[in-house]
Amino acid sequence: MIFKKLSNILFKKNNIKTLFLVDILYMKDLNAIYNFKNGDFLIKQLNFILKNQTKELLKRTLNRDIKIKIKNTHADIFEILLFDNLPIEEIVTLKNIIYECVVSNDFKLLNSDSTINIDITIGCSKGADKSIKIYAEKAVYNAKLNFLHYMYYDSFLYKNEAVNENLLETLNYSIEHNLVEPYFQAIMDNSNDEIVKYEALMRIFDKDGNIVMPNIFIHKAKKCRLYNKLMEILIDKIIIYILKYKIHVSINIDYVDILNPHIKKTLIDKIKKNKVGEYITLEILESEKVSNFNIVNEFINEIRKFGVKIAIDDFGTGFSNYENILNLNIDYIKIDGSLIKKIDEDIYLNLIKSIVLFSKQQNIKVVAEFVSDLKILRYVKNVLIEYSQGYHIGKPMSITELFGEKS
Amino acid sequence: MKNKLKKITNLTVNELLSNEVILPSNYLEKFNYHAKELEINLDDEISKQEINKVILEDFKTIEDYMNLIMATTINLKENTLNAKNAIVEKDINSLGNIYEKMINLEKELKELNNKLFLDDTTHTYNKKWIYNKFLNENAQFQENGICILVDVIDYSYILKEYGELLANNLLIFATKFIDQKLKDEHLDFKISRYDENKFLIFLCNIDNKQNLINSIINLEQLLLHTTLKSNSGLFIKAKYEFTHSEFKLNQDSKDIFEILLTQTKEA
Repeated sequence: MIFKKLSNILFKKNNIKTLFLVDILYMKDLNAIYNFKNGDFLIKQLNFILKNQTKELLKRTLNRDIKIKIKNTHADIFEILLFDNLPIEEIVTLKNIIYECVVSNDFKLLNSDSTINIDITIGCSKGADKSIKIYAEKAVYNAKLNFLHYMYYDSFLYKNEAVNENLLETLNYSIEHNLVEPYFQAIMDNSNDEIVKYEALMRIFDKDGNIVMPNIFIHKAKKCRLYNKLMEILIDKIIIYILKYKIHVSINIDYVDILNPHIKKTLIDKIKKNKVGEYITLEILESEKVSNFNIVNEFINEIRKFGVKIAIDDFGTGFSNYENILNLNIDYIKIDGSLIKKIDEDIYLNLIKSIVLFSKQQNIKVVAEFVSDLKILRYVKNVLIEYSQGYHIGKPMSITELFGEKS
Repeated sequence: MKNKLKKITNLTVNELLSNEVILPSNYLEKFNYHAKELEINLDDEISKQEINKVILEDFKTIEDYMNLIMATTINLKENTLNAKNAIVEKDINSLGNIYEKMINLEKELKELNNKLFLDDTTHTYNKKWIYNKFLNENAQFQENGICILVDVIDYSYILKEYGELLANNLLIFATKFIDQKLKDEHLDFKISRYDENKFLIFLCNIDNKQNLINSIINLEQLLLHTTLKSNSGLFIKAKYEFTHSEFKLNQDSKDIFEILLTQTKEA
């Protein structure tokens, strides 16, 4: 036995551990309602349940000699560490035991005969090194975010996250070398099939000169607080191209960008200084995050003074509330590509028709995104949408691809 | 057992791919070696029985295929004769019926074709399709294009730790994802399963090579950033690797596949 343990340690045969983190849900509310003393009392009771009843049940279920360590790491978080590489079936069984033990228990309150029930979130991870705790914490966090009571991360599979480091390097490289470029996708007037505008889409480049698309780097850029710098370079270049080629350009702007005084000021200053307002449409991304419409309207009214037009992007998904749109002073609605893709299905066609009808009554022009073939374009024209954008009209192109080298 | 035999076959073929000539003795030697590596004793009674079962199943598939071809040929002959009579007699109703029958025949043949050339799990093309349909009889390319090797690196780990169902679901997700993204880009492509966890994408009629390479790089990144959720609460972030190589008309496929496989091994 001792020899086996020693050889395991020496040859690292089974140093994989399984970790469950147990987090009491809405602990702050419990503290607020029943006071801190009762909060501490609840934690004490949970500590007792996990270390006795739950531990006993886990051991009995596993039916083999596995070391289990249980401790209250901080505040309302408990750690259940099992020194074994448990298969997924056992992990699920043990998770159910832990969950049942806690949620079915009647917790006592100080100076009261009444009892309450508490709910928990469980995060689980498996691995050989310290990362196990990071991923168990990540699992708890994401479970809470998604209103789930349990999530499991295998830290071996998350080693791939290191790949992101390369992305950070690419972001910094693009900023340092001014390699943030707008790519332009044509927007066509459906009444005469003429290209009237281009949507500017951000692209960055890696060290080998390969293009990296926004859906890969935007989230990381925001997380690493590099997004503002990217936006600044992008806006500068768009203005240069507007001045040079006299093109009308749509620029995407997030609700968060509007809240950011730096981006807001930079944008307004640059538009004002270069007198390019007449050429610009700002596409505000329709999002659930738009909670304060006054701030959005204040911004819209301010920027409109310089001739800038306003569009609501990705309309039809997310929260899509007509009332919210009525409260905004806008010129265009861009119907989300996911709806346009399915325009040949009755249900989506009717939804699109209702958006168009509503927009016409409000004197708002409609743009269809994701017009990827002739069939979709015919549908779009048939329901009297004013503008089309998508691969059928044109793929995003660099300024030189679009206009060639212009001195 | 069939899956294990497939795996041994793939390992054997991949190892011998670079040889100009593959002698049966070489093949058998390598086949036995990989069987042993996977702890399969081909000589024990249970294995023999299971192998016989697999062979019988294959025979049955071939028999079904032959029967269907026979039935189809007879139907075709009958329908042609009926069509001839209907045209002579200007019988529009009969012509309509014959047309319907022909459509059904086409459907049956398509299903048959799928059975032969599609991978059971991912419904992408299989290796048989590469060598019987995509390449010419000398295993050369029939047009110019780019070939991408997609290696689902974490497949083996997921298979070992979480079982076949989850591992297969990962492959299904990855191939569907790639298929959709390439369709969105309006590209002319075919996806084929080359190995247990490796897929080949053949792209032809390419207008802009650089744009295509950018799309591939971004596709790989998109997959890397995608998290999958299983019913058991497991969140998977799998690793994939894409390598690509250009191919020319009449170029030997062996050369290209070797380059791609070597690149993935080195990476």
